[in-house]
Amino acid sequence: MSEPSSTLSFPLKWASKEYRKDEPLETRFFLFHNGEGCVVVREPAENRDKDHEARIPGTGSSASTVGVENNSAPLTMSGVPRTRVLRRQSEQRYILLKKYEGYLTARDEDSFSARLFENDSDYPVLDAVFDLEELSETDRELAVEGAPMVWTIGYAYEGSTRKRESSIYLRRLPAWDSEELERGRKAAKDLTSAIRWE
Amino acid sequence: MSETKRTPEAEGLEVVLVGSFNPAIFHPEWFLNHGLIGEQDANEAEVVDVSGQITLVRFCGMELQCLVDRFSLGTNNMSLAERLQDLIIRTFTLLSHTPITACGINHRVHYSVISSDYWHQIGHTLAPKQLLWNDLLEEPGMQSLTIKAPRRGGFPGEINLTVEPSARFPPGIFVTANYHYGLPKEVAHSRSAGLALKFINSEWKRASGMARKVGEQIFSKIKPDNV
Repeated sequence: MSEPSSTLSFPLKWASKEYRKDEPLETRFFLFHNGEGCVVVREPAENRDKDHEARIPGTGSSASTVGVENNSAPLTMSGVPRTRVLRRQSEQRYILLKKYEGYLTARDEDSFSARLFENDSDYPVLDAVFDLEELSETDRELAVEGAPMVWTIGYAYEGSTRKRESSIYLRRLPAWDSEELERGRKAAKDLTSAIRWE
Repeated sequence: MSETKRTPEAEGLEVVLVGSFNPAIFHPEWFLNHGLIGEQDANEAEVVDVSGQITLVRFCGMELQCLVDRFSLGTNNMSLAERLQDLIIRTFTLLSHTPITACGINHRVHYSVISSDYWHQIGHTLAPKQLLWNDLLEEPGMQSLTIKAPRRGGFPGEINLTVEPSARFPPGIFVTANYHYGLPKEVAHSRSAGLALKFINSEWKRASGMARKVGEQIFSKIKPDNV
């Protein structure tokens, strides 16, 4: 392998779709292969007069660098290109160690029980009891029997400090529509009829 | 250290939608007003830019980017994967008339590798140099390798798997997996958002673990020569 090169191409694109309409419907990344580049947008900018035109920033400049000379000439508005730096948030780092999905089986005043599994073929499943305090205040009202949940354990980083973290998330899913309910009923029926009792 | 069961150094997930969007909508206050995020999440949000042409905001450990023809929501914290999925689903259930032409679920993983020799060995195994490149270049190295395959089933599309050197954890490898779904043109202005959400729900588990699966295969099939 070789180290990534830095002069392959300069990542700069127009924001408006009329400038990019011939591009393929790529979804491998938002705009830039390595998550970083400049987007050019057209925005109204203060302009004094034709002798004091707004400067168009260089392609490597950071956001909001269109300059207008500070003088007393009358103001007019015109669309000028401005660059916006898009950079994927990279400082956040988390290493996922374990993930269980499942649903709540019971809840009382101080705790709740859940049935959890690591993947679809996981057997036997894990039955666990958690303190209600493990949930954020806003999540506690969602802790009802049958509520789907995810329990993750991992290492979270804060600068050079690594800490082990356990978090529980109660899922917020829209209600199933009639098509999904029908599909579920059919899947259950097929599964039941496929069982050969001896 | 075992090379077959590795824990990634860093991992991320992103959903990219292509279509027609109004970037100015996606302010944390909008998400709060529609009950999609909590008050504290909205208060702690970082609004880099929200305008009619471009939006970049960070909240709930996620990053939202939007132009008039592209939208993405991503995170580097995999404990938030389901929260991201739920937020996408609820957002575009609310914005159900948004025309969407393509949708991608992108998973990315960085692994560090025990030595430069092993790192080169991985590159030479994935992209052999003997047949062609050694005659043309001095010390040719693999920069990027993408394998594309069709994805069949209810939401036919493509799977694009890419392996590159990791710029973040050298010597290391960076693996990305893209589950791409181009929506049929005839649904673009009728039920495309609903169909894109169905694709996300249907492929989520496979897509959001695919880059790890590729990494595990690489370390399992390519053993260090000198061990």
